[in-house]
Formats: sequence, C-alpha cells, structure tokens
Amino acid sequence: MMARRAAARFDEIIHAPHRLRICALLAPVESMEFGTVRDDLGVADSVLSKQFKVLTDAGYATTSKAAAPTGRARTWLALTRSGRKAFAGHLQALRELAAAAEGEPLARSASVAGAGVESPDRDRGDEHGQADDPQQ
Amino acid sequence: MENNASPPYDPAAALADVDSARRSVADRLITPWWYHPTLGAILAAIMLVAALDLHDVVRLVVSLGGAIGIGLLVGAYQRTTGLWVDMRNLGPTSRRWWFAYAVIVMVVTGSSLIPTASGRALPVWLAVLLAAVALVATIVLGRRVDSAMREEIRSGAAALPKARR
Repeated sequence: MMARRAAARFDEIIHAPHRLRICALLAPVESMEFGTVRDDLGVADSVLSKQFKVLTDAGYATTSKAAAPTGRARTWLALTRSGRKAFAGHLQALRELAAAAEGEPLARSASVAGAGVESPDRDRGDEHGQADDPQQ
Repeated sequence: MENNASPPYDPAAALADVDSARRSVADRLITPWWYHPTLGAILAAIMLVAALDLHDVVRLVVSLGGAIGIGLLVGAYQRTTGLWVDMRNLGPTSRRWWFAYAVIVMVVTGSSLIPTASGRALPVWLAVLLAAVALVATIVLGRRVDSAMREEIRSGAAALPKARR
C-alpha cells in the first residue's frame, strides 16, 4: 500500500508489462542506473531505450548523465512527479480491477476489458534486437 | 476457432509483477559495508577539528577533504548499487530513524561549534566523545534507515516522493 492513496486512474502507457516494471523499479528510489534497470528486465539496451522513450515522451520519466571515473558517462533513469502520480493512480486502478475481477473470469470483467488491458507480450518484441547505445 | 492472441495482462498478474519489481529494488538497496563507517569517520573528523579549535587552516583542509570525500563516497555508492535514494524516498518508519539521526547530528555539530563561537576549545575527552557519537550514530542509525527502507519498499509502504522535475 502506498503511503499516500492515489485516485485510481488506469494508464495505458504504464500498463504495458515492461513499462509497468520500469515504473515499479523507479518509484521507490530517486534514480536508477540504465544498466541496472536493463539487467532487471533482462532485455537488450535497445528494448529498454524504446520502452523508456515512451515514458519520457509522456512526461513520466527523465534521464540524466553522470560522468564516471572511467570517463564514460552513465545514464540515470528517474520518474518525474507526474510519472509517480500516474503510476500510483494506475496501481490503485489495478487493485480495484483485481478486486472486481476476483472470483470471476477476467474475460467477463467489463471494467478490465474496457480498460484496454493489453497482452503481456505487446511490448516485449525485439528483446534480442541489436543493442543501440543509449549512453552515447 | 483458433486464437493466436496472447492472453490479456490481467490486473492480478500486473500487481504481482509490481511486487516482484519492488522486491528486486529492496534486494539491491544493500549499502556497502564501508559506506556508513566512512561517512561517520568523515563527520567525526570534521567535528573533532572544530571541537578542538585547531588552526583555521587545519579546519579548512579537513572540511574541504570531508566534502570531497563525501562526494566520492556517494559516487562509489551509486556505482556499487546502481541506484540512489534520498530522504524523499523514506517511508514512515525509515523517516523516524532518519530524523532521530538528524537530531543527533545537529546536537553534536552544534556542540562542536562552541569553540568557534566562544574561542575556547572543548576538553579533549568531550571532543573525542562528540566525534565517537557522530561515528557510531552514523553506522547504527544509517543501517537502521536502510533496513526500514528495504522493508517499506518490499511491502509497498514506501513514500511517494515528489520528483524534482
């Protein structure tokens, strides 16, 4: 349970599995390094870049670069304030949908179907795609 | 009729994924063993030279060295863990521990600045005691904050911090 209960609001942008996990990883922290998020998701750099761009285009996330002693800049990912609010609202919506669907087949839940719940693989294509380098 | 569509990503599965991600973050939030002792030692050194009313050049060098050291320490922490948290990420329990630590640091720092205000050094035993309190409090309470944060993240009780942007 979040410390501050948000108003339920299902968010199509966040709901895609990879993006939901990215938000769940970034929500409890100030920022997380690109490679750490990539390793947790188990995807190629290009996949994380693509999914994260959707979040940044929506104003939900942001990146920053920090120089490392090795000279190579490290990319740090973070949720914006609106991203944190949207994620909290989406979590609340998921809880309500899960509670409503409890005990009945998901396909029969009009609220879930109406929310445009998408396939778990909808954003999981290209996982073995050629890695671009987001840190260039 | 054959249906090649993938099964829907239902809310229960999504919530389970969120819980899994939270556990992953909590497991990563393991502060390296050297972080709190080093931070405590830097604070202790700054307080010690202030409390003993050493020459201004010594105090300046130690303070600058401490500031640089803390910067390097933070960088090392970030490289080691791959993440960064600040006080806005604290939940209810970790916040209480953090405030307890902040109060101790303020009291100890204020006491160590008495010589600066009065021009008279504190007794050596008191200066050493202040430095020791800073060191021990940083190690003990720093680890308490970490432990509470891990539990709050796992349970979903972590605060919803405000982003800078």
